[in-house]
Amino acid sequence: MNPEVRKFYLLFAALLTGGYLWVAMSWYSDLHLGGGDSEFTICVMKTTTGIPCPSCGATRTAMSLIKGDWAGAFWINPLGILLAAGLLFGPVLLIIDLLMSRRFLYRTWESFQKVISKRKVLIVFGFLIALNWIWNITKGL
Amino acid sequence: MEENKPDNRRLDMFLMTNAKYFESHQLPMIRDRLESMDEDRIFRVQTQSYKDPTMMLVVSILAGSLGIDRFLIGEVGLGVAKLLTCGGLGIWTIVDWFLIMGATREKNLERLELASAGY
Repeated sequence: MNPEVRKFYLLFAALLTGGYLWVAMSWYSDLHLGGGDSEFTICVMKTTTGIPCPSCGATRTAMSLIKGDWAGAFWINPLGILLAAGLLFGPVLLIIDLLMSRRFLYRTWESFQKVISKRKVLIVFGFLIALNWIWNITKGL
Repeated sequence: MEENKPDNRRLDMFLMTNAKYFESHQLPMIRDRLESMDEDRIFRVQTQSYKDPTMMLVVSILAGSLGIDRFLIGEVGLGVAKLLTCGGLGIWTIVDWFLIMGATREKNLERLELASAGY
């Protein structure tokens, strides 16, 4: 496995691990389950400016999904659902790639980078993120 | 075979004014590469816009959790990942404060190599 590929898989594994630790921590310490009682957040933006960032509420969305409230989860932050899906399927794909010496994840990542670097795609993506961000702000996340 | 070869003063000028954009240990290699290039390629390399590592550090500190630092140096995929994960749970934001200058210089070198290859 060449160093670029290895770096990617290590980073991916690290992100997944971090994500799971975070979710576990949040779940067991009721960080976001109290219905907004605890004001703890890791968002640098929110702590410094008071304004939520586009992905604020992702943890609360994950908590909502775990509890089974899937409709409610969307209303908190749709990006959270994306991240939760990534967290769910990531390990499976990672293990399959490693066991079968495939590079599906890495090739997907390369394709993703090519696609998202295109101007039109970037504009659409930026627009959607901005929409979500504004929505977050109006929701007072 | 001396037509279209740059003179050394021009090369040294370029290196002096642009040294901050690259890792210092790469400068000799860059100089060698420039010496062997013709006028067109040199022009491309010199008119290429490079990102200032210090500026990127400032961006990283101020707006790092939105992934803007990564976006600006051209790593769109990583920027998106950073944005979606709220600056990688804050950890990536902090890590990048230390990594971003090196990453900027690497990307600058990539641009130089692309320019010298004729793109």
